[in-house]
Amino acid sequence: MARIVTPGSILGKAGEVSDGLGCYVEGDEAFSSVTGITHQDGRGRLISVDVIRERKAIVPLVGSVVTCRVLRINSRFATVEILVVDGIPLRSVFRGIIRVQDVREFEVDQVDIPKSFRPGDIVVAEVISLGDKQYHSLSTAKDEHGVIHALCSQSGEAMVPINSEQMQCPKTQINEWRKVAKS
Amino acid sequence: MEVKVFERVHPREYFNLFSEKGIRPDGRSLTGSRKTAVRVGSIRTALGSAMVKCGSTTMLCGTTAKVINPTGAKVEFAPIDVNVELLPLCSAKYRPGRKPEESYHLQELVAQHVRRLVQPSSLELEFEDMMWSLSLDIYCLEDDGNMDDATLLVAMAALKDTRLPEILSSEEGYHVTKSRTRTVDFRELIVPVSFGVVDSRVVVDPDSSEEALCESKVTIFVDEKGSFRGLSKSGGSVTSKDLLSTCSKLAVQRAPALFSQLSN
Amino acid sequence: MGLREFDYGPLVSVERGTEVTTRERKRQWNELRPLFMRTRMVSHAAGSSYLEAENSKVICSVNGPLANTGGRTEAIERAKISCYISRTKFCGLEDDELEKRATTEYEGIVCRALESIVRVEQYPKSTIEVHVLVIEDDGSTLSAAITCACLALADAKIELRELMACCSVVNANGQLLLDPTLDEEKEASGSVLVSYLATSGKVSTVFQTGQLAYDEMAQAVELTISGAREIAVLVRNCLRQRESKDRGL
Repeated sequence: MARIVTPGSILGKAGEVSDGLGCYVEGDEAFSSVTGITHQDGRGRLISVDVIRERKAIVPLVGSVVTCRVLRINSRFATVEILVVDGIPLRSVFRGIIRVQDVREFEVDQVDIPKSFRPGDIVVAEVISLGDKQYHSLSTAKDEHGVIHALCSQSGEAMVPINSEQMQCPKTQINEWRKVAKS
Repeated sequence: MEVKVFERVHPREYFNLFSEKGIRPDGRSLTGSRKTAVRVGSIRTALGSAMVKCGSTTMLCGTTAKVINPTGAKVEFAPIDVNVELLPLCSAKYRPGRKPEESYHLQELVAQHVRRLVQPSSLELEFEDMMWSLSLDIYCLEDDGNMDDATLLVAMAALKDTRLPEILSSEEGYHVTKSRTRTVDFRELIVPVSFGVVDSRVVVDPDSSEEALCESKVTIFVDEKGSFRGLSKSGGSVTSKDLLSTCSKLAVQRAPALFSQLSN
Repeated sequence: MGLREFDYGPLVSVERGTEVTTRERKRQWNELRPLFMRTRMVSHAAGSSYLEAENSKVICSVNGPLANTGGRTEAIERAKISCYISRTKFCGLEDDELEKRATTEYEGIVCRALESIVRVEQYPKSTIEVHVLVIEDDGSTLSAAITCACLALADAKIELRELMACCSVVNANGQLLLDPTLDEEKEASGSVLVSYLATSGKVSTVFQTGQLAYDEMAQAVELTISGAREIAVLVRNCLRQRESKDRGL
């Protein structure tokens, strides 16, 4: 039976509840850690406490797929601001960097950052480590990660991907180099 | 891409999807204002108080007073001090520590109006050279855009709600009685109506997401007779005369609703 | 209670009246003032709350989890909690009382109280900011701030181990009084504040000022906990009502 629970509500014995979101185990009991509705699996076992999606409190964690905007680039890495984590817009921006060795999987030593990203591009990446004080470390090595939106440097129009390395401006027909996300 | 994600990543394009059709993301037309409500008298510990809600933007104002001894020439403007606090409580835009620029702008906006609108004679005392000096302390409880309108309205509403005590003179000096009957009188009332200009389109009463996209902001001041009484424009873009006259017309239309809120 | 008197400056003096406090008129020594609580006061904040205990009014909003701004070395595997308390100019406290209620000390107490319930390990490399504004102060505002902060954090869906409610007691003229008003706090020789954890029944913060005899202390803590227990039920109900409303139930 789904019911409304608040932080600290007792959900059951630790054995009956599988470790899930919105709950935690202490000693031999499981408790809710948020206000939400209990959610059960097919066998009636509690698996999580559901929070309304728009109100979730999230931070980028290792393994999260994030959508970011490129702020600036240099020869060693691109600095981005992380806007969306796992499909949920963040309440405040986090910063991240994509290092030259994390841009793609093949020919890693021949990667050129200005031919992969430009300031203003929207990029999908994965968080590979929490990094240092300021920046999370991100990677676009997977095929499905990379630039999803970029504007032509001449006309300002949104470009269309041609292959995994180039995008074309529909107005000027000019090709520009990017590490393109495979859709 | 999901709607909320699109809004986050491409805010300008998201807004344009709506404005091209003459509406805005919250459903209003380009000339529609949010629901505005004025409530007075809720703070016991202030001599007068008011709270104004314009959509989600909420401003709270309390008045306190001191008796002062102004020396010199007859006072031309009412002695009113204004302080506006924009704490991180009201928006994540404001960081703890330094007072944000917007506070100073709002303080100036309120001070220059209330000092002229309030009759100094209503603050003068019968005893020689003594008069009331008022302090307006305004706190933003939520900043969802267009604080200019809400702030000036809350200041005027709080002043109208203020009741000052009577002062009696005796051998020991002057003392304050418990009765609070003295009101603060206005020469006249003026209301502000603010607009944002986004991609050369005028939007009335911009909310915070729209304000972030504005290239300029225009505020028109209107009096009770519906006459144009002043204009303020901020932002570096060029605003055409046509645009300003559109704003004036819209302001004159909106003003009566604000005056009726103030008089209740 | 009679109208609070204001300070109108050095040129005029004020008649200090004889005011009858609410307590003498109807409230019992071990009775709380009627409480009103609401969440979602600041709609665009991550979470927010408002608490009103008759004439004490406190509003709180939570920002976060925010990215760390760098600078000082902070543990990156957990979130940092920062608290900021402000008072309105017209909240009713005079200068000498403001000095006694040092804001930095209060902010530290609220932070420590919240650290006992927030699951900081869930939000690595981030900061959770709690902002409190005391709108009107008629006593017990520090305990109201702590309860309000817990309510705002729960509204922000930040993971909490359990709910926390806070209450205080003063010793005035030899009598212990629960949930004191400002006048009762002024008359008091000692006070104690306790924050109570609703599920485990444990106590997380005890803040004592002034003087309390040893056996008085034990009694005072018992009394405070009984008050906090009642408040915890209200906190829980407030959150449940909001959740039902959000889901259209």
